[in-house]
Amino acid sequence: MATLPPQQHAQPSRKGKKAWRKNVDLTQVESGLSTVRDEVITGGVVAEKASEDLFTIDVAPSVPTARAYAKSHKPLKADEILAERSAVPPLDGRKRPATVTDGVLPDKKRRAVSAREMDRLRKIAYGGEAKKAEVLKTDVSATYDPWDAQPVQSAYTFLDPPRKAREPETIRRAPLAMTKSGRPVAAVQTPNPGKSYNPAFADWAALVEKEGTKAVDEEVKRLEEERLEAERIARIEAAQAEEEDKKMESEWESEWETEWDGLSDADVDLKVKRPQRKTQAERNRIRRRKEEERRRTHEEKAKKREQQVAQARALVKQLDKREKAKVKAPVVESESEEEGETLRRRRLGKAPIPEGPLEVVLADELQDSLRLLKPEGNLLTDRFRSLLLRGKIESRAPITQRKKPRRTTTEKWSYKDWKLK
Amino acid sequence: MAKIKKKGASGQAKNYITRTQAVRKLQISLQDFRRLCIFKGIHPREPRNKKKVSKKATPATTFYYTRDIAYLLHEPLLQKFRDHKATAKKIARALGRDEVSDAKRLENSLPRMKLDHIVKERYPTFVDALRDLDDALSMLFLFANLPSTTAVPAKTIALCQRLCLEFEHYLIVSHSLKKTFLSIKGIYYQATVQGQDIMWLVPYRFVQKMTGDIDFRIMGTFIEFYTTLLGFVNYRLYTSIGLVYPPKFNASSDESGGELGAITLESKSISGPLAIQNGTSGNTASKAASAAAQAAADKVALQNGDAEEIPAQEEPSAEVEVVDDKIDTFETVTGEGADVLPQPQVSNTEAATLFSSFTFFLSRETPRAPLEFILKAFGCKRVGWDAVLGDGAFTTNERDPNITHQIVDRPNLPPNAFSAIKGGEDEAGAPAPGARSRVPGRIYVQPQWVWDCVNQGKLLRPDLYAPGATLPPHLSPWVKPKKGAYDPTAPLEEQEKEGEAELHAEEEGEESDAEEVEHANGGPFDAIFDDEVEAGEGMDVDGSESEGESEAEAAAEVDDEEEEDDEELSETEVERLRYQRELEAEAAGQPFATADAGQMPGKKPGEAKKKAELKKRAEKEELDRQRMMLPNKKRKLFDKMQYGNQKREAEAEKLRKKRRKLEKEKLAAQAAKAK
Repeated sequence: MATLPPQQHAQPSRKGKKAWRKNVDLTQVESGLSTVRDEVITGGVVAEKASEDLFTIDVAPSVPTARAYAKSHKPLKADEILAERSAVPPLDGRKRPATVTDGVLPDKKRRAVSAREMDRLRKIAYGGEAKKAEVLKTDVSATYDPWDAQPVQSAYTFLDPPRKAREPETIRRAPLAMTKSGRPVAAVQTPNPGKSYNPAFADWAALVEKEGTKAVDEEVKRLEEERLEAERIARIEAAQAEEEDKKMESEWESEWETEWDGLSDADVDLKVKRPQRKTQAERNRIRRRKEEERRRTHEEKAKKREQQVAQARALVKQLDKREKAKVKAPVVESESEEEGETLRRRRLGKAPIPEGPLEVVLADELQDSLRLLKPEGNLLTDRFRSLLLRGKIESRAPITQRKKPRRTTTEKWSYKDWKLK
Repeated sequence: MAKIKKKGASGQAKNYITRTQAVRKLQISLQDFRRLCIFKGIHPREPRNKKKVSKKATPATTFYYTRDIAYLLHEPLLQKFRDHKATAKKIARALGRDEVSDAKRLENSLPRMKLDHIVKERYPTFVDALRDLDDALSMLFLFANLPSTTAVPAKTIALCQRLCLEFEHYLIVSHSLKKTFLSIKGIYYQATVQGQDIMWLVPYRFVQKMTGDIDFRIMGTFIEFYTTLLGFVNYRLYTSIGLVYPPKFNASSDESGGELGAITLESKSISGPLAIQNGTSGNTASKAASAAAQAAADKVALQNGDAEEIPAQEEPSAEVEVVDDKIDTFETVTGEGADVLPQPQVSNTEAATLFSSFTFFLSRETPRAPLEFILKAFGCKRVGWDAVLGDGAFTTNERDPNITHQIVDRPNLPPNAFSAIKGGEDEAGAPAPGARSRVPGRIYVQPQWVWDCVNQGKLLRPDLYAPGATLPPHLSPWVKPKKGAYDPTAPLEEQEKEGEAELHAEEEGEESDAEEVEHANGGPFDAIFDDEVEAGEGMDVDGSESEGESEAEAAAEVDDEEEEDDEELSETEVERLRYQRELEAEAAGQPFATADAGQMPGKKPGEAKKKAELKKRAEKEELDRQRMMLPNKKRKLFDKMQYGNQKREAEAEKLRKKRRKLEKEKLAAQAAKAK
């Protein structure tokens, strides 16, 4: 307060001696300072003190006044009785939020369920099929032997034991193996010796040879198909080009014709229906001709048959030879079970059974150290394929795009929304 | 007139039901139907005539037996599936009303399902379950090695791992692992449990790619069933040998890669760990200590372990009946010409003692999990490995004096390759693991040695598998040699025809004038000549020329000490063994094929040839006679077989000739050295 500069309103004019600094009126300031000093001496500045230091509240009732009041206003007995409160809270029929039950409010921070719990609940409620798996309890370790378990004796001995559903014998039938021969496929087939990480040369060579010929055959087949397809396309294109040429020509011609010939009479050689009936002579002639034809074909056939009979002996010889050749052809014996057995044509389900991966180590990748081995194939697909081959499940193509509801496009009729003004 | 039958009321039309019809009948979703079918073992079927079953059937329509589906109606799981759906709807309604506590209460009352009853139903006896364990084990081992994704949660993977480890522990205790094979796909194992052969395939670590073309929901359903199945199988197996199931599972050890070591087996009668654990007590504490202190601590630990082992080993043997299972050999009644009966390979007692006296150390580049499992299954009590490979090792100190074998899988470096670095480290005191110097008095082998030993049921010559050596091929144990085919693992005398050796010797004699013996100097190891040697060599079919060289190299690489010892051994040993073999051949009535068979006195050249030809002709005549007796159809089959046999025999003879030549050269070299 004391440090304030001279104020404007107190100093209307700056002309004259009154405006000098030494002539500024400080009496108010000085008096203030002196009061403050006095207050400090008497025990602190009053303005800075807390109100408790300055005032006290008189809470004690005045005894004589109260007595006088009670004399004049005596409460009724009924009021006294009503004022007596039970320690037990009264029942309340009023509706209130579910969180308040016994009059004790839960603290705000703790909810009934955590956010994670809520997520879980939501997943169970709306998650659909995906959450069903968690319902299964598989992580508990076995605590008894199902093959040695004693049947539980029921307390109600007078009741017949509940009848069990009898298993149909069809359930025990082996699943349909997807091999052409119908032979069942082992769950884990013995490995081909050529698939050793460090194979014997003969085994490895045999495997490479086998897989190689298979791959080459496939490639040849593919190339052949490609060629045929290319040929087909070329043929179609040629035909199209020809047609177009013809069209062009005919168009040009017709134009030319129409231009120059004008109206030319259309001489179309229509097939004229025979006007008159066949005479009997004609019919006879036709019959004779037909009979002659029939006879000739019959004779030719008979001649051929005779010739074949004559050749029979030679044919038998030929057959014998062929069979001998068949015997001589090398019999390929499968050394291990893991041979690519041909699959059956009719399969279960829509999708084809996927091809097994090529599990062969080429010559330049052949390592004799376990450390350098690069494993081939994929066991996940191998297991899945095995399930399909054994007919345990049907093959399915994974659904990458679901069917969407069909949409129809229509024009909006908003162009009709206009008014004459 | 016959009674008129109504169409579609009997026969195929009644016996089969389409999938859509089945789903409608059961009133569940398609996914639930699929799961139920997998759990109950109901497979799609194929009617003989689809059109007779249903007019609308397309090639893609799937059929089931109507009776199977009718049986499904009684399945308690089906009711559970429906209950679950109903409760889920109630929860959804409660959540919609913001009645969370109600939803919570309903969630608690959600039906929980177990597959226990199905296991008993599908496998009425325990042997049935064992027979179907191939697929289950392959699947579970595969899933135990998968990375966790949304499709395969970590919980499932952990469960699969635990079950697999438990099963492996049973195999270790019961020594029932029989064969194993390193393939390019993964590692094949075969065990015989209660007379049932179980084969499964375990993938290599960290190579499984998740591809999009497999339905993980279906795989997951199979896994759910198989985990339940293997749990019960494990329970039965454990209790059958007097062990407590479930065994103690140490989560912290598992966290630090303990694998087999994370599970502690307990005997039912005495409380306390069994001896099959890797007797390690003090090795975590003494890890930081110096090498000397480490060795001392290990010794103490070993002694403690031994003290514990003795009663622990004896106690279970009292209750588990120990049968003297020395296996019988089956002999054919028909005589020599008949096919060789497949003989049972390794008995349990043999398996238990194969590696029992050794202490192995696995270098850090070797696959620890399969090696640990196989070594322990074949009797090894102490397997140590580099600290990098995880927890639970017998020792992590490579210099431990107890170690007898070290498995190494790295190229062999010249001995002074690390000399510069080593010099610096020696001054520091502790030998660094980086400096790979050889520890004397220890055998170094490549991992394949373990597999080959296990498959052959005996210890093979380790020098063939020394680090840096060209390994013999790793043969599949499931390929049985056919009659007349060349068997690289058997000695020559067992498989050759009568008179073949002499005939060959004669031919050799004719050729030898022109030829020159090439590999005159073999290594000192060629000197040791016994059955094991023969088993080890000759495996290499094509590399016949290079074998002598590689062996010489291998021999040169072995430590100096060992070499000296072997040289002392070799001279006396060779003489003794040759004499022994001669005696044996005499007893068997077979000619002894030695280096100087061609110059045997009293035998004219060409005599053996004549004899062989005579015999051949006689055999052929006999065969022709038999052939004439056969009916035409069988005769053709017989011809086919004959063709195959002849081809195989010719091939085998060629290979035997090759091998005989090699052996002869070797003998000649020895003789030269002996002089």
